[in-house]
Amino acid sequence: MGEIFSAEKPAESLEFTGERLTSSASGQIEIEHFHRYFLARAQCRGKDVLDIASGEGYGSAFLAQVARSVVGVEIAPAIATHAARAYRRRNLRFVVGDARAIPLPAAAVDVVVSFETIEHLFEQEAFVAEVKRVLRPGGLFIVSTPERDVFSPYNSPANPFHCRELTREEFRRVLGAAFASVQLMDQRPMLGSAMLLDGAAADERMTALTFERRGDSHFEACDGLPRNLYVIAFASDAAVAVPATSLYIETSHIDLRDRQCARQAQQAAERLTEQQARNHAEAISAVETEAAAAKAQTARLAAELSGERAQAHRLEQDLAELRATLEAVYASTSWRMLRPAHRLGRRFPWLARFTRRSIKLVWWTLTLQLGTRLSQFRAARRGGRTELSPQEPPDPLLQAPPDLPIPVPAATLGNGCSPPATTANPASVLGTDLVMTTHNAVIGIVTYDNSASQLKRLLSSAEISLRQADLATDGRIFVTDNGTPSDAITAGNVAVRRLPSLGNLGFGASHNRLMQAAFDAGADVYIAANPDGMFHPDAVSALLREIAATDGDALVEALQFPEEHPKVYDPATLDTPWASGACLGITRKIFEAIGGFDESFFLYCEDVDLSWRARAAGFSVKVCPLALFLHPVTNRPPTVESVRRFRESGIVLARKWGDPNFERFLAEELRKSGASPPHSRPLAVPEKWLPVADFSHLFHFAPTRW
Amino acid sequence: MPDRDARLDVIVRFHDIAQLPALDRCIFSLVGQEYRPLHIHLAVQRFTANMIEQTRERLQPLLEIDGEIGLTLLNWPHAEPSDGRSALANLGFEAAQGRYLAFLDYDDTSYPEAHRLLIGRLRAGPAAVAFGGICWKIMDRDSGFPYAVAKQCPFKGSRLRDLFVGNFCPIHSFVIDRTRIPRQFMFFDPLLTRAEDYDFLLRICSQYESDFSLVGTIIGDYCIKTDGTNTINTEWRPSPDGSAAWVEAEAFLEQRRRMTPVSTSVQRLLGLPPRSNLTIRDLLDAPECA
Repeated sequence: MGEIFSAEKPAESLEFTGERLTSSASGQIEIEHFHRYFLARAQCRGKDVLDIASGEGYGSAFLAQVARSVVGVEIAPAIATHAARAYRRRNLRFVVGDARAIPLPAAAVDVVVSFETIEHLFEQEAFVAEVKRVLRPGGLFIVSTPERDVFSPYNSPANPFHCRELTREEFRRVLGAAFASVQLMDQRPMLGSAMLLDGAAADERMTALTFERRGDSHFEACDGLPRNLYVIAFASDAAVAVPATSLYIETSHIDLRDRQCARQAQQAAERLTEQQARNHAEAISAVETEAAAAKAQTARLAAELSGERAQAHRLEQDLAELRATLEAVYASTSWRMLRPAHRLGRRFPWLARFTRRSIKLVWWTLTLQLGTRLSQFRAARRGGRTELSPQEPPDPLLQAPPDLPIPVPAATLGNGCSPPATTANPASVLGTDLVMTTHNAVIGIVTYDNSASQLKRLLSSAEISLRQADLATDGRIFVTDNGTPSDAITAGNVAVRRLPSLGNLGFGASHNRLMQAAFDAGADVYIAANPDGMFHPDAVSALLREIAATDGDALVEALQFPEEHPKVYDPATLDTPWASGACLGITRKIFEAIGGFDESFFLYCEDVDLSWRARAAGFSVKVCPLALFLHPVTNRPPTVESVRRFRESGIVLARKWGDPNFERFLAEELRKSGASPPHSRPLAVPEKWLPVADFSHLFHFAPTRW
Repeated sequence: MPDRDARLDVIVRFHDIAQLPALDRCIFSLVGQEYRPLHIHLAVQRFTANMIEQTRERLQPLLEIDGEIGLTLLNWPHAEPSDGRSALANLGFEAAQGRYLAFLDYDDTSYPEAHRLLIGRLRAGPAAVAFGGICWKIMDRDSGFPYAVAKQCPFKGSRLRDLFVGNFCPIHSFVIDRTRIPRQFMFFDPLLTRAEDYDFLLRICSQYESDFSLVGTIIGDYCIKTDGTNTINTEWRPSPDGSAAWVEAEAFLEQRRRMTPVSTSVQRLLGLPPRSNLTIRDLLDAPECA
């Protein structure tokens, strides 16, 4: 043909991302695309052409060199705008549009070109139908696609931009449904050499005798092009004439690549030398800086040493003076006279205190300070601090309540109380700003017929969570059984310390045994955990931090996950009306003050009772939102047994906390279901505690968030 | 692998390293799943080596809880598309090997029984996809931790026709049986950055049987953040860009409804006399299908 034509280079190139070819890309991918467009270009002379998914526009520009008119259709507006700016010809325009709804009237063009587009579309049949619509009768559709079996063999990473890749036969079928004639050509990128018959003999021979290297010393000979990566189709209702062979020769790029490699190697060597020089300079600079710092440090230490010596000298002088004074006191007449009184004070400290206070009273009376001092004392007593009558730890089950105001959470938390006046700092409430000292925490688990997988998962999560809190795990998980023995499941687990089962004592009673054993063993925090749950790795650490932030004065529950308990808690103070026993941190301080769970409760509501007692005794009850405890409570329909247990425990709670209405209501419910109210009647709590209890929200025992 | 017949692959998409605490909760909810065997494909967008290391380090203790859970980290390194949510899903689709497939976005959670229940439905019948119910959990993060303010169930719908009308099935509300859907259907359209999962559901549910019997059973939470950072439009500060993208996506979806034929088997399940080339839009407009 002898035609020389050029590729136009736009002033600005789009970045190549792998989705579409741009003029910034070169090498093999450019060769493949150029070859297809060159072949199409030969079919477009003097024709009206549509280039579907024209991308950056370089292909449409090739076609426009020979066609009467070319329209490039591109779905991305920014890309179409770029193409229109980059390739300007009178017979070329670009429009934004979708291949599945081409923005052209019917029978508008002679040729439609669409390379590497069909595999990006899911509705390929609709796309082909659209192409057919815009083609004039007998028009030509030149379309290519990767051959799926070669391009995407099984287990190879997928091209994420491709929606539906086709095999050769699927491709033929899709096109054949719309066009009477479909001629396929195979395309394969290669590095090799080409031999072609001269024109006189070409029409009588086989299409191509191909040789391919198939290993170090083997070659394959075959007729045609094996393992083609792409298939190009020429589809039309008229007879299709295509060249038997088409080659694309890229010698200039091979030469260029060699030169590029040499240049890149040289540049790399230069960069390495420069980097080494920079590294040396940096190393020398670092050593110099270090030497200067050491010199400054030496001077500072010398100055400090000199100061310390002077201070030591001064202290020695002070000591000598004090010794001389003391000797003078011992030698004085008044000291010798008062010596028996000093001895008496050491033997009877209360007498010494009494004497000191009497002297103070006399002194304050003589110096007219008595009124002021008494006011200060009363104020200190109201604040709960007094030197004269320290509060004994109360046993709320047996003794009268302490004479303290009962702290309650904010108004939103129920009980009709006022919200706190100040907003807490989240870090200080959560304890995330604390430098943690080691806690001696123990996890307690009471099993009840749990599966091996459930229990193993809990133990594994507990160990990891303890480790994340920097705690040694050996013997730190206390386990006892209320149901089927779990010895076989925990056998060999050195983190587990077992307490022999005493049968099904109930939830609270068994935890009390574990808790007592834990505190006897020196623990300062006991974490009760339900056997069907799972600790988040950070749960123990977060619980211990929040407990430390309260100085051990709070019962702290982990946040039930993924479905939280709906009861309210204050996001600023983290106070909550009661804490669930599903995963609950109880400190030694609270245990010694109020005891463990009330064993009048067999199952359920013992945690509500513990929380209310803790609040009545002046402690806080908090949620730890950073401590997640996975607890499967969703889609677990209640059983007849669990409903009965809930009602029984609710009655015990109502009797203890003085709500006859709630008791009557539940007793009636029990009777309706054929059961009788329980006999258990725990000692009623003192009347002063009753404001803590909340029966107005039934078994939520608190207002809820949803 | 012997467990492939039963394995559940869960694809988790993650694009912002600053959201590691949310991802941590998401993965914790997967570790807490009752269903086994389970494998997680965590697809991340343009992560550096350092970010990948941070992610691995954060998740490692969670994965140690149950040695049977596997996690594969897949990185999308390309500059385009800038919003790679469909590309990330497609990475996961390609990596999945088990019979069952589900999704969970990094800021959402599934209840422990979620996958067990849905796979139970798939095993009990011929459906290719089974749906459960999802609630919104409104989360406030001003306190320094996610604080659940309220819980709502705004997703209205109970059957296939409702799904054709609008999406009431968030991405973690369903499990797919991959043996019942041809491979070429298993992708999210790369052109979409909104409702890409709904587009996927339109394509597969118009061809294959779906099971909606557990739609009334809540199996997970869709986390709505009061700082307005959700993709979906909520009352919490929807961005103008986001709204425009939604309008564009809705136009795309309507085109999908108009161009996608409903298979005759699905038409029969809907009680319609089978017709060829009945599109989703035709079906919605047909009086007998109201």
